[in-house]
Amino acid sequence: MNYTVVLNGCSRTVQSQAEELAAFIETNLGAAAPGRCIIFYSAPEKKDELAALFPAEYLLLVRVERYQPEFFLSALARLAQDNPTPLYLFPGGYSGSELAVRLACRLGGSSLTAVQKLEAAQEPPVCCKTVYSGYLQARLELRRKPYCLSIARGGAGQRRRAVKVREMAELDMRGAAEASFCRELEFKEAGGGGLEQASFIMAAGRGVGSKEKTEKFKQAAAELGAAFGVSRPVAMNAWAPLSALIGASGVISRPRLCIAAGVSGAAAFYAGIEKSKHIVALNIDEFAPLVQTADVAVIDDYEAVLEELLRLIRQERELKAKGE
Amino acid sequence: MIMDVLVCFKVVPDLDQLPPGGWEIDSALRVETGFVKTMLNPYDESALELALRFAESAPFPVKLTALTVGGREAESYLKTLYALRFDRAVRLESDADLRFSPESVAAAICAFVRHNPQDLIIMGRQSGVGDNAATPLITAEMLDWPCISQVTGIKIRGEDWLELGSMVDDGFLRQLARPPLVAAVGNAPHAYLRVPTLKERLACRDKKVEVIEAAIPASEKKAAGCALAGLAVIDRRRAGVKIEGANPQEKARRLYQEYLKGWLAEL
Ligand SMILES: Cc1cc2nc3c(=O)[nH]c(=O)nc-3n(C[C@H](O)[C@H](O)[C@H](O)COP(=O)(O)OP(=O)(O)OC[C@H]3O[C@@H](n4cnc5c(N)ncnc54)[C@H](O)[C@@H]3O)c2cc1C
Repeated sequence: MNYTVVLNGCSRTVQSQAEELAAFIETNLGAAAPGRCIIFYSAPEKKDELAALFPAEYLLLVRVERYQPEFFLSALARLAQDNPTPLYLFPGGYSGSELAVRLACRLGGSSLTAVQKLEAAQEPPVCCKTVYSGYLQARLELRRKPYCLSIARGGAGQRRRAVKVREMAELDMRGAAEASFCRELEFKEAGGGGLEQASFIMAAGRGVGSKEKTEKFKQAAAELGAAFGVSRPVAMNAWAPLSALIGASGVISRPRLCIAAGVSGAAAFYAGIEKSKHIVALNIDEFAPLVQTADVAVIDDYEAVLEELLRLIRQERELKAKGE
Repeated sequence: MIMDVLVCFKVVPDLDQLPPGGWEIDSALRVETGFVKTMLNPYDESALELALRFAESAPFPVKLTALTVGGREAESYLKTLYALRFDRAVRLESDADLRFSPESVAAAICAFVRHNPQDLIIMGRQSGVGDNAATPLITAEMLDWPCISQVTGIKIRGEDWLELGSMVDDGFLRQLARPPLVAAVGNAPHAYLRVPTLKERLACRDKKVEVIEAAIPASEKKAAGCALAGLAVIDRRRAGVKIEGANPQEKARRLYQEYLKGWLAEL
């Protein structure tokens, strides 16, 4: 199936967007499927780097003032009219999902967000994604072309295989910013704390109990060399910043080791740690769902367990230091 | 000047309450959730609270309407919203299976808005069950309004500007925007819906929820972009080994010696 990939080059996350889409395409459509790529960008000095991110037969670079979905959409709708493809693929972040749904409305097509799998050879094509807050997997038939899909975040990523770029075009849409219904006041980059890339994470849930204890847990994580994450209630209570949120609405991590304390293990949280190689649950309740979806669990008060763990690890480090 | 603000919300089953073996999917791909308690979809809960704060801080009167599309399960929530000073509490009645048809829900909302003009629509960005993450976006498209998504805060600025905080792929944005627009609420810290006092509840106990038939035309029902073809429980179980021990210290020592020491060495 002929496709168009749309990347938001205004975002620092564009490289992972491109890699996850490349992997999705290779798995679901095959590396040889003919495709186009449209990259929106705002920093001209990054243009060449961006153009190399997603080699496609036809590559279009659209310069915009900043990320503003209304501009992206009017450009996309126009391009789709002149040169349609049956499938539009978007990355899994906020912008990808928003653009997929809204573009489908404008083009009269079908949209789905957070798609894990696409069976494009079926008629009608079928997508798989999680529903019911992450507890169930649905198969959904796409009814109307064009299909506008954003892929699930946190899938495997890979560099796209080299494809000969036959045509490259550029478009400048910066003028559009003036007429907008809105004005940017301030943009603050989110300091992610490296959760996405970390090989070891420690996650605190509501069971940790308070803002002070969350802070103490964070210090323990730092001492052990783990990235610090939290569940939704902890972030919503502002015990920790939003950028530390793990799960379906936060970071999807893929560490080798994850220790989760005071976390019940709701599916929406688990989505953010399920790619961990090893999962340890510290929970006072033996019936908490995470106890079953972890590799090992300690059923006890997390604080006492963590304190002893810290003591053991410090001891081990000291011994090592002496031995050397 | 008066500003009309519509907040759309959905009442959902608290799916985290269902035990792992408790999922029953019937042949029509319906899921039995009748025996778990219901709750406000968390993003919609934040939307309702943000709307109340917005109305309180505005220098002019704000008329607040709360609206849901669905069945009777929303009735008590709508009554609570009256007690919290929503001016109108409306239920667009429908017994259709709307789980995977955000198009139909958006169409019903838009039909209401055409008869009851609004300046601002606030709603959660996504709700469990369908997990479509599409209704506010489709509503904006159908009304031909702009939309700001992942909103975390809304304030009034001057006579006719709104200041919205929101999240984007790699950070936090603050922008000024002119209504009408749809604000799709994301992870908004501290935005839990307040609880009315008994006095507030009593004061509006006779107020009736407005029930209107949802305008989902037959063609609209077919308008869903996708059709559900299968549903299956995801089994995520791992070994789940429970570490035994007389006290937390002993358990921690076992955890460390038998598992963690090796795993930490792998890093
Ligand atoms: C659309 C949607 C999206 C969502 N997205 C996310 C998301 O991205 N991330 C997310 O995390 N959630 C998300 N949620 C919320 C999710 O459903 C759960 O409500 C949430 O994950 C629960 O967080 P928790 O485990 O910290 O709290 P709880 O469920 O309250 O669990 C607290 C746990 O701590 C244990 N505990 C208490 N005291 C102690 C102690 N002293 N020592 C050890 N253990 C103790 C308890 O036994 C319990 O198991 C989402 C929900 C919806 C509807």
